[in-house]
Amino acid sequence: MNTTINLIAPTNKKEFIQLLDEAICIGKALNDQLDTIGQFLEENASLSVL
Amino acid sequence: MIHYYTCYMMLRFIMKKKIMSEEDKVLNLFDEAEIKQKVFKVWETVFAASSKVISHANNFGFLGMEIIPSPNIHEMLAALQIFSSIIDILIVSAEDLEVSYDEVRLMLNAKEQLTRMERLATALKANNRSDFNLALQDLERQAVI
Repeated sequence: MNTTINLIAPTNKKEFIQLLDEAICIGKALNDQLDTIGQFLEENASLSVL
Repeated sequence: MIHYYTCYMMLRFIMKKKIMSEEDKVLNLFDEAEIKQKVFKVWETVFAASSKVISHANNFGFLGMEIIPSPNIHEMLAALQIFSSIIDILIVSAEDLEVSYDEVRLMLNAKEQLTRMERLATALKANNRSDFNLALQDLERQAVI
């Protein structure tokens, strides 16, 4: 993930909303990573040992 | 002394209410609606991620998850930690910004689920199967079905 994240505590509701937007972006990136992992695991199901 | 202070605080509250224009009130209501909607979205993405983690762990097991090349478990753990840090900041500043209890509760709930995912990823990274299974059980207990 090559994104710059502003980790300064918000001082008003507008900044709070901006930080929420950043959290949503990170959440989406995490979900995308997990989808890629799921795809890889399904394609290589024979390699997994349950 | 306390009496004067109480009067002063009441007067300040009344003045503040009068000074706050109708436009400010409408803007404030819009902000609150947006915060409510976005906090729910954050919560939703956390629980969507945890459902995927549970599904991968149950379908492919501990060893299956270990073979993931990229994005590997280290990258996933880093993303989880960044996400968790942002939610921490949101929770801490929510009180100062008078964000409602329901939104704070949702963020705390999301933060707890992220911590469980971090525990699972850390156990996987440390190759600790029993901790991985315990973290998975905790994650499943809190999952939204």
